[in-house]
Amino acid sequence: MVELLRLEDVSAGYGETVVLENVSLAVEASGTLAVIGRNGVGKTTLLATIMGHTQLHGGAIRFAGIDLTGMEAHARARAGIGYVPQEREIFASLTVEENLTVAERPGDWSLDRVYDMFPGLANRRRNRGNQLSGGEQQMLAIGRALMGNPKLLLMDEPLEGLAPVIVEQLLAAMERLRASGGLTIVLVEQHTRIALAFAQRTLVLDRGRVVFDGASAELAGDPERVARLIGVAERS
Amino acid sequence: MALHPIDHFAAGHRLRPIELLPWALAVGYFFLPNANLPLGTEILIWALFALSLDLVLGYTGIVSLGHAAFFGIGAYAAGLAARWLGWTEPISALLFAGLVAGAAGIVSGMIVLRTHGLTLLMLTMAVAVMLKEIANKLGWLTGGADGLQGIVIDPVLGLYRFDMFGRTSYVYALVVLFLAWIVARRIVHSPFGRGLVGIRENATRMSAIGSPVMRRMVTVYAISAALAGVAGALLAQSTRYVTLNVLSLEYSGDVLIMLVLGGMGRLYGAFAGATVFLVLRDELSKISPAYWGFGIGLLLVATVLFARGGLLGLVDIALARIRGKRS
Repeated sequence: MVELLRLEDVSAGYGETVVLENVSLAVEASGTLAVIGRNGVGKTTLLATIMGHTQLHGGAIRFAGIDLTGMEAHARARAGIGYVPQEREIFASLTVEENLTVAERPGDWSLDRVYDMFPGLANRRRNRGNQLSGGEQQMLAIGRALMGNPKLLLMDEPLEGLAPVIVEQLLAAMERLRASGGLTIVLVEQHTRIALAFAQRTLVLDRGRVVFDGASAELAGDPERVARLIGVAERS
Repeated sequence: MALHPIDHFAAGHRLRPIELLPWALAVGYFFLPNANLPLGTEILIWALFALSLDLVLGYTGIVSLGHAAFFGIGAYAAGLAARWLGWTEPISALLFAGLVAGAAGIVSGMIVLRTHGLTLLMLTMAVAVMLKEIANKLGWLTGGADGLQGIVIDPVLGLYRFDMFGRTSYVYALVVLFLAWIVARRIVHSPFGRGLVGIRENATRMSAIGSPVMRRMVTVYAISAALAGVAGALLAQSTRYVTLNVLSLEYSGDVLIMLVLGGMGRLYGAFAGATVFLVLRDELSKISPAYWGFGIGLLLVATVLFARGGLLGLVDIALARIRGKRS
């Protein structure tokens, strides 16, 4: 398989503060990687570093054969990296449709395709971002990232704080994305069981370091190992 | 068949009949027997100036205390071209002034827009202060503190002379403002314009979805500077005189107050703010030539405390209540 993303000995953080230390990973094209770990171990920082939102202290990041070091965030997005942030960060005063179209770039994903994936958004297309529920905002955040027609989709805790019925809907949409085969997904998730079931491979972070990198199935059948790696009882 | 994004925007922002109201009022005013057309022209010019500021402040969130720099550059560009180069044809001179101010916007924007907050505020102000001091020192060219005099402007389209009653100036300014409004309206309702709102709300997020934030900010800053320059050139052409005031902090402050009064990020707030400010100034100065500013200040305090969306925000609230009662 072709490798899409590679981090080599990456150390990064905010200003002088180093959060990630010598993190290395590789993700194959069309593959899925879950990143799990306790709160504050650097999961969000890992995604932010791939997007270019942190201070890179060492190492290298390569995406689709391109060295991302020193590349601005908007150039990384244009190179094919989509990012769904933890806080969703919907543009409150733009309508649903405007939130989607400001991110549009040529490719397979279009308004119609996003509306097909999230029919609820189509019904709310004229509503402003601040008039949406949490679940709708999350769908919009994913849809907005897809409108950029990424090769790699980074998702930071997309299920956090949502009602179970909405989680079901989002998981179904994420499954469809995975099944479509054209997208590589890196999912940061607190719900370990969901993460392990979704991704082919899993990375466990602890205090900014990689403590496990392997097949999800390896962890899925061994809850005690998961608890040891994460340091707390797993969340279902 | 799927619509192109720009068609989606256009469909959502078709011209509503209410948007023609200010233009109908402006045209109607021209035909009033006792119309104060010089004041009307001043309102139109300041409305254009405020409209230019709305693009950067209201839509993009770039706070500027030195927007008069571009107004002044436009005024001096048109004035100097007419006075020293014999470039007396008004429409081409207006375009020239807009280009010069727009170029200044690109150059200064590439420097000042790298900063944020207080630093940005101070830098925008510093640009205007420096330009004013340069204009003052180059008295042999600009007339310095005495102002640039002896400006001759040809009739508009070779037909309409600038008359002492201000008829030509009024119509000329109205047409220019209308064209600028079309440009501004097109911009704010385009994907580029919606992107500006995205930058105002969250520049980091815009960057993460692939928007070159700095380039877009410089672009809109330059467009805004060009429009401000056109407004300054209109003032120079209609009064045939340019003073150092066009680069003053007072002008930068006045245009900001007009926009806050009218309502930012609305396009039409510039029209309402300029009208209220200048009519109020005119009326209050008849009562008290020395203290008219007190009345403006009082209105500004009331606006920022009780009408955060400006006068047009109050209209929105009133309309929403009426609709609420009906439903």
